[in-house]
Amino acid sequence: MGMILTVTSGKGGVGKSTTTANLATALAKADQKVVAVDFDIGLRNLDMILGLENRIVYDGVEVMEGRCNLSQALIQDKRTKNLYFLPASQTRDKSVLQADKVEALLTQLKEQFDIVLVDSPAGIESGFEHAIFMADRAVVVTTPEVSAVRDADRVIGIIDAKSKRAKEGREVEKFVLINRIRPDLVERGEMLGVEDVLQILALPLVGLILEDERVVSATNTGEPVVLDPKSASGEGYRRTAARLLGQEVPFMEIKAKRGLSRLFKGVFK
Amino acid sequence: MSFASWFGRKSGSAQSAKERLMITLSHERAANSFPFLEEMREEIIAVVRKYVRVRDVKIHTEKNRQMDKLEIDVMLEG
Repeated sequence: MGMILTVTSGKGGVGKSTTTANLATALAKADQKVVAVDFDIGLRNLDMILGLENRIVYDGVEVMEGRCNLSQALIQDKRTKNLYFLPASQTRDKSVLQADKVEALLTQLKEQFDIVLVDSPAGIESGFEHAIFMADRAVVVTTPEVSAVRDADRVIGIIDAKSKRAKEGREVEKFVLINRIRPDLVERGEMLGVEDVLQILALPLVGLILEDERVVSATNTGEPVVLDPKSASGEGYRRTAARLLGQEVPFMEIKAKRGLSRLFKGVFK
Repeated sequence: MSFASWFGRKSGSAQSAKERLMITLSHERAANSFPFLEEMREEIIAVVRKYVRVRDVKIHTEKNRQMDKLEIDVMLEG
């Protein structure tokens, strides 16, 4: 029996889908049988980040409604062995989701996979509630910005109140992933640091991802950045995946690069 | 580079981000974790009214990592 890991954030645009795609890829590379599930019904995202948009035939809603089998809707990634993807419906909206059907689908996935990674929609409405309901663990993604941290805090409270585990008196194991950190700004005191965010959210840290231009090109081409061995964000995601598998991995150092040009800039300011 | 940053002290906007967040969240968390406030307030008014004339009952909430606080002020008539 596998584990359901929901990636969520509250605020949109902080990198939930990018995180889901990269963690799914990294976990599959670490020999886990992984399925990434897009729960953002009506607004597909994950398919393009994974580069699987041309292979969609059926979607999760059609499986839930019994119009196709799960195996017909699942897409197997050709680049990454062990990685599967279940797309979101684009023609429907989140109101089609029903708690019992969502539960049945996720339970079925849990039986077939080691890790079911659920990409939650932004916001705290019904789509989000369905995405967190079955979670065994949750990764709350935030950037070091006030609005993102505030919404992350709200989402943590809702997971504690509305998940199935919470209703059974158990706890959803929750972690923070801090995305798009800019070491130069943190050093100048113009961006919240890792310690600041953790002190506010009071949850264990599972990942630190530096701001990285390569994410943009990776999304453009549909190859998750974690497949790029040279990228800093990819390294952050690989380490995060290892931690989720119980390994102790040091966090990357948050230090601004000091080139000669930067030194001059400092002198002439 | 500012003088303060030479000594590793935070002088930038991050400090004010942190302070504003901590204050805002302490109020928001409290509101989320005491969903029964209005009902309780009415019951308190009903009880106190048995003994004295009460004008209003105000409940302030605060929640942070160290403690949860409910502050109940009973204002009496004239």
